Amino acid sequence: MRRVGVIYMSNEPRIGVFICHCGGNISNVVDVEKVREAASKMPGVVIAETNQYMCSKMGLDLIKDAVRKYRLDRVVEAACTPRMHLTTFRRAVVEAELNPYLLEMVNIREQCSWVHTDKEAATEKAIAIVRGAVMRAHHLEPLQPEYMPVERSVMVVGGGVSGIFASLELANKGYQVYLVERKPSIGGRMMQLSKTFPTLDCSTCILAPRMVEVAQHPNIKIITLAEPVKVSGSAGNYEVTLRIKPRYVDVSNCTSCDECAKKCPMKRVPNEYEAGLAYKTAIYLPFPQAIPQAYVIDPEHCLFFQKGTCKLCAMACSRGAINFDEKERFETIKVGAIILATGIDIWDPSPLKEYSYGLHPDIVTNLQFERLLLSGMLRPSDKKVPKKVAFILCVGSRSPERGQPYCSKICCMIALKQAFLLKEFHAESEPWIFYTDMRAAGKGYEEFYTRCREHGIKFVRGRVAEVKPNGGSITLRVEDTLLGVQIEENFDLVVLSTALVPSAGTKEVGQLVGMDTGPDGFLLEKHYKLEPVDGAWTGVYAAGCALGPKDVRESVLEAMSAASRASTFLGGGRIEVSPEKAFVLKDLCDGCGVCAQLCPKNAIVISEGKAVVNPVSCVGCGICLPACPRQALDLKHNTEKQLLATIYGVCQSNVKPLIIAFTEKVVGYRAADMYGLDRRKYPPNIVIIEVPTTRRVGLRHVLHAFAAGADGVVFVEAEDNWYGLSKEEGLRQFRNHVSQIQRELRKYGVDAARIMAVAVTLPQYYKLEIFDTVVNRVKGAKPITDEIRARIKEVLSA
Amino acid sequence: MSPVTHKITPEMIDPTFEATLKKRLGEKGKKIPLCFQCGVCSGSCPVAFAMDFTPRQIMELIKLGVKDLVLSSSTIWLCAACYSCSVRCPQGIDLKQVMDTLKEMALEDPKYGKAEKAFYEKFIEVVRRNGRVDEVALYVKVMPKSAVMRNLGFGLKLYQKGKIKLSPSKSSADQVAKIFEKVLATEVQKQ
Repeated sequence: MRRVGVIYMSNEPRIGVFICHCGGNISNVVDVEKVREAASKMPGVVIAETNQYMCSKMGLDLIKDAVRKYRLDRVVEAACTPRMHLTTFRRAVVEAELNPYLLEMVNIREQCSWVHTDKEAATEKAIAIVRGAVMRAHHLEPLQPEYMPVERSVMVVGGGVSGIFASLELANKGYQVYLVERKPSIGGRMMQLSKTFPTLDCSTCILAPRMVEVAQHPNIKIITLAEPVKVSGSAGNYEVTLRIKPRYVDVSNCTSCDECAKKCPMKRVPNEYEAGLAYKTAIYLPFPQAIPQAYVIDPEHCLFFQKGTCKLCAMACSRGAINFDEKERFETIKVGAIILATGIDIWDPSPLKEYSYGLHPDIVTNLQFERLLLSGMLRPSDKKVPKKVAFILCVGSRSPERGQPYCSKICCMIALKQAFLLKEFHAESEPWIFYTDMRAAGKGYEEFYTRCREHGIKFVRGRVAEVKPNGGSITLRVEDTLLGVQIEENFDLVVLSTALVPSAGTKEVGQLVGMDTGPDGFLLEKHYKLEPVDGAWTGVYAAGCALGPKDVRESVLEAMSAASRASTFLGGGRIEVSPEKAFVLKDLCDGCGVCAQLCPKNAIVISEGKAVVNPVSCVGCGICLPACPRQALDLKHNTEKQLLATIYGVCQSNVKPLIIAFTEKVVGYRAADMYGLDRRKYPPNIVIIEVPTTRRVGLRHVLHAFAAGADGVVFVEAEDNWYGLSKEEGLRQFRNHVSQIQRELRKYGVDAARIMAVAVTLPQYYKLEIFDTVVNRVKGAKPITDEIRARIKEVLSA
Repeated sequence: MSPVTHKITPEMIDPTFEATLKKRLGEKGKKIPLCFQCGVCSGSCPVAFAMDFTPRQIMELIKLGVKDLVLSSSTIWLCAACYSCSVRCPQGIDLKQVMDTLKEMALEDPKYGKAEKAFYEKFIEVVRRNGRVDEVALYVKVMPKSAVMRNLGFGLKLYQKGKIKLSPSKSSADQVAKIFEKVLATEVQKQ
């Protein structure tokens, strides 16, 4: 149980300011001593200190000792982004018997020292934002977190090796697991593979027993042919709607006797499991070890569904397991956490015309080669044993202009393994590997590469330029880049090691649970290094190839990590809910209901002539605040007083013109942090004020900003974080909100060019380049005269 | 085997060479440092067999800043402008444009491409006059007198078989002349 301590409350707040050097990260640009000096003179500040690393034990002890010694009741910490160390510093003040909400953090690293080069201006800006925080600290109030119970169940999306291991791990810990798979059987890509590198274990032999374990586990429910289509609720209490396609075969009745398939007249249905190299019937068992062990009808190829007559399979089934009337249905499950393990697809190499994929049956992908290895190693065209086989690497990988920009990571090892197995299959065969760089970094990988060279596999460094069918054989042209000469060679079979891409629908399923995809299309983890399997939302995790191409070992590692993260989250049985919620000032409220209409979460109802906020549904977005005509609503930890204090504080900056960037806290603020992390630069005229959403900032706040001396305002909003509203509707309302403020300000003679807006996503954080434009536009805008400011002040005081 | 028999010494390196080339190529120049020596350009090149450096090696020499070897290479003159390299480059480097720019740079510097420059000028002169290539006239202009005399017999055989003509047709010469005028006008404008 966390200690939420006693609070010293006096009429005059006693504030301590603690400024971090961050080992030079801050102090190389910001004159920390000067900031300390300025801070010590700010109203209410009792003590101002600096330290090399405030987050170190020494730094934290400094804060704790100061709180006790000077009887501080507010702490302002100027350091890195609160996304990094807010918890650390809150814990420290709690240890010093202070309520955690009486701590205020100032971001002078990501949003100051890392984005500015002018040392003097950066120092001035740092002083201004510290002043903003000190002023705000005067109005901070102690708050108590609330608690909510959590569902002890997890949905795992994707039944490949990652999904299987995440499910088993969680089920063995006692959690109820729903394993949701889009295909008719679990198993995933790994079930299509021959052997796994570098140990050469049989892929199906090692995975199939785990699949059986999943099927028999009392805590796991496998839901096949299903996809999540809607996710609502919040961390610990998600409600997921699944769309389940009909199988047309009763799983519990089917004995896999194969009588139905024998009767099926549709014998030439492309077989996905065989990577298109073989055919199946319209009613089929996905593969021999399929789980659930039951047949399924492919309605796109079934004669009955296409022509309305046949049903031969139903007649053949002695158990009456086939039901043509089954319909698509929707099911809702309640889960506490969600793990995405949606896997990969093979990139189709057809756009690379010079490789002639599809023009000759003996030009295959590496996945197809896996199936050839498992079916006697005969080439597709004439079912003869190929002698000379070319393995072409980087087909669509490492090709920003002709495929994917990234390295698909495992293709080098796949090619090594395939060449090795080929050589094992036919000792007289002649595998050639054409590579750009041989990437064999991993336990036992380099050793395997050495073994391959010992086995007589030929390696040529050079990206193949052309693959041309040439009568019975295939001609390949390449430069041997180590010799600098062109080589032309004929081959019996050509294997294209194509790029690996996120499986179809990764982006869509990610969006359901607030997980963005990066520029490569794979899911984005919360922190690349330190939270590598976490999603942006609490209780959402990802594992395996959904996060990027990787091998079986790494997928299993991530699956276990994600399972561990989920059980850590659910293990407490309850979750802390932020107390940052809207509340009603009953005396002022006249029950007009504007707020109730506007609330995206329907958290406000009008009861007995007054608005009432439901604290469980309220997400603290603050959209309702500026909408209230009587200012009867307020938001805890972001009250009107607190926000205005910050605005007036920062506006005393000496860096002119001064532009306030009201920045949405979830995406916008993190985007600004990423901008700093990237060491990109913007002018120190920009001062960021964090707000729950930009719509919490109304005309009144903007007027106050101009009255206080600001010269411009920019709204930084998340492109797709509208608390339940669709992206289009959210953006529409955002634009309306901003243009309305522009219109109103024009009445006071303030140039509309002084108000700008931008919507960002995390991968597009560079959109904040707009800050440069903003500063230039404000500099070029019609000046704000003293009369204008005086008039605004007059209106505000009236 | 590899034609790279040169030893690259510090005095051969012009540290501004790559930057100059990039600047001249504008937007396209930004891609030059992306080359990772995969060799798809040289593998695709139909005339690489005749070059002293393959296109990939030229890219490497550009990176190293060995201006002298690049501008005196046969590569830039042999480039047939087939665009295979530009189309297939996984990094989107327009090698054909690089070769063109290198040619321009060589022509601007009296140290390089003397013979090529002379050939280009004479070629253009012939085309401008006749509206098309006149092999006999071009041969006589480009080759030294002794070579012309030595090959008279061979030329006579070609003539007898109708492979070359002494007075080629001049049809559409006026239209070609117009093209020349227009190109020259734009060149002047550019300057």
